[in-house]
Amino acid sequence: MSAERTPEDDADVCVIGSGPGGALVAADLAARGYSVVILEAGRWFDPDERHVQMELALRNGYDGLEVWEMGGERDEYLTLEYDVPLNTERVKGVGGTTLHWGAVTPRLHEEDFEMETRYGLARDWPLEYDDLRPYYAAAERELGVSGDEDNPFAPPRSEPYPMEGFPASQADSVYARGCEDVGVRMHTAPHAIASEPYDGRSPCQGYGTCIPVCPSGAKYSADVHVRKAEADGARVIDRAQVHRLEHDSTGETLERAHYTTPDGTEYEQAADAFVVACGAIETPRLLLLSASDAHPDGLANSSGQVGRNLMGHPYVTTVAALEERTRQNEIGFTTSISHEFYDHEEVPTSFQFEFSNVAEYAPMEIVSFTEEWGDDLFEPFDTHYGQVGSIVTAVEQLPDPDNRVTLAGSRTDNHGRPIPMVDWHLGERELETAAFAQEVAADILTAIDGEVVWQSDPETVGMGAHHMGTTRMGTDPDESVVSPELRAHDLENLYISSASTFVTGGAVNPTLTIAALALKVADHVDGRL
Amino acid sequence: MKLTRRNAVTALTAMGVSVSVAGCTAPVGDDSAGGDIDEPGHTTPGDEPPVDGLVATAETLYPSSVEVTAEFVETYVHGRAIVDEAYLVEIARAYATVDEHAHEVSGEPFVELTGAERDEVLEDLGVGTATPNPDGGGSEHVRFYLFEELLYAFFVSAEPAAVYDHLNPPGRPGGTETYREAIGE
Repeated sequence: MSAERTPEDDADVCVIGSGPGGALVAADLAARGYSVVILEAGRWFDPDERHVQMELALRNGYDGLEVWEMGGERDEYLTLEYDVPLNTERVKGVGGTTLHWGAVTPRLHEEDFEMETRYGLARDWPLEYDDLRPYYAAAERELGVSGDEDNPFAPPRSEPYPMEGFPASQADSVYARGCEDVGVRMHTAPHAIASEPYDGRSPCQGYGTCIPVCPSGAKYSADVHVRKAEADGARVIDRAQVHRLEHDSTGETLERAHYTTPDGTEYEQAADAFVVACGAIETPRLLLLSASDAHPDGLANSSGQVGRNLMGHPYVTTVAALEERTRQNEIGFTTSISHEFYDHEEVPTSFQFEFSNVAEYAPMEIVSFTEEWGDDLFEPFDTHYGQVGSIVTAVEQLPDPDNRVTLAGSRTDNHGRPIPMVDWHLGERELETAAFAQEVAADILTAIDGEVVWQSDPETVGMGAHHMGTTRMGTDPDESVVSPELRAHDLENLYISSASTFVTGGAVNPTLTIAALALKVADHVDGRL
Repeated sequence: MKLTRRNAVTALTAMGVSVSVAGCTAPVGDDSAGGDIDEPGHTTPGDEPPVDGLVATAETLYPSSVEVTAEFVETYVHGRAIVDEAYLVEIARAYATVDEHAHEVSGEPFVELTGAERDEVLEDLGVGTATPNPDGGGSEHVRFYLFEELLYAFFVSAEPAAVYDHLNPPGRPGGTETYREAIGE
């Protein structure tokens, strides 16, 4: 950890952002002997703080954002038609959003890479699943994924998961009867949560607070790789907000990143190669903030695609009062999911069912309802515990160029830089898929004698935590921002390692794909240097 | 169930505290160690909540099936002091609010009151309907630093099934078995 925030001399590579997209590149390149500097807008969170953070998460009286210091003037943004609650989802800190993620790590399916060819939808990736397959395997090893090969819909794999998966829950056994009735095949979910000691990490201790914080360190977070990078000589400058990238006189080569430290001091970090790994909101923002005479519409934006095609996974939920009790909140993650509807023929877009193990209020939440104590303390449990189950659906959203990130003009952040403006909405396809998924979820819960008591409104659920697709990958510089090597078409030494490069987002959690692409970026940067 | 030093150490472990005095660390389940609340150097006299006051409060809050011991409170308070002395001062302030109100209502300290009288003091303070708020005053402060503090200690330390048949409440490192257990067997 560096107390000084002055630039690093003679850096080969400057990595901006320390989530999985940045951390894995940094660790990989540092291990190969390159001089690497990481600039991160947030701060280091000491692992010794995790238990205190867990208490912040569990105790009534906080709003949850304190845990990772999310939001505030630094993280401001604007939305237009739809409210998109970004700051409940993204973390700025060393490790990025993996500090509070749910750690579900499926791979994209083969069809996700070939949507145009197969279905006439969106665009194909300039890669096939087989191109990423070895990187997926490597990413699973790096992140430490526990999983079982019981998903009949999953793409082919040639090696087992690094660790055995977590068995299905008691609640899953109840949901399973409904699924069988309705004809939906359940299977377990892979997680970047250690089921046994792994790479210096503890196995899961069952704290049950995966989102927002894992006190045991069983859940992977990208600060793991930032520390590995440091061990191999990389330098981390935290609380360094990068606000501009500067190129040389030709406009073809980046020379330095300008960043501001908490006291307002501005520095310039020079390097031979730059990797922007700031996620699908801040990556396009940084490129747009870096407009110059040579790149008047923003850096790497000759295609006009920077900021466009923002995708999320809107999550819709169906909750039912059940006749049968299920064990909710005894583990913090989803153990079973279903890819039965990974399909574009029966439904307009794919979706992933997640069978909830945290459908109900946890005890500390329940006591917030109590006005009594002593022998009446647990009275609210009669009405708030053991009563419900839920199925959560992640809906695939297809790319739409009108869903985009731009700059908000005169509205500025803590250092006076224009904040991002997010214009995002759901299309008819996604709404139709969500409605269909809600019907099937209701059928499953009804089949186990549940009574549906609540369903979220797809119109208002928002884009979820998975932000993708604002600097998409492609072979045509007129239609895409980065090449299949994840290098900007317009600049020879700018790489992007982020879900922002996704051409489509499928219906699965994106982080394993971010990690796989990060390892690919490292190979390409190494090849160039 | 009886809440002992062992439960307090469990609670503190869940909070990331190794209860250690003079190089002695108490692992979960070791009743012989865990430190002594009288060990000097962790809190300023007068800023520390009285153990008997916290025991009286816990006895009031917890169901009658739960027996609260002084050693549970002592160990817990000691661990809290290691984490954050300022936090302990807030607990002491919250208890002082309750105790002052007890004096106003009945002319007696809170610890001297019967169970029914303690209930009355807390109700009169509005603790039951207050929103817990670490930055609030009066009943909000009491609800956060006393009421919910003791409940949090309970949930992360209680024996499995003591909490309404919940085997592993969030915050308790109860392993990866209970979520799979059948119900009613």
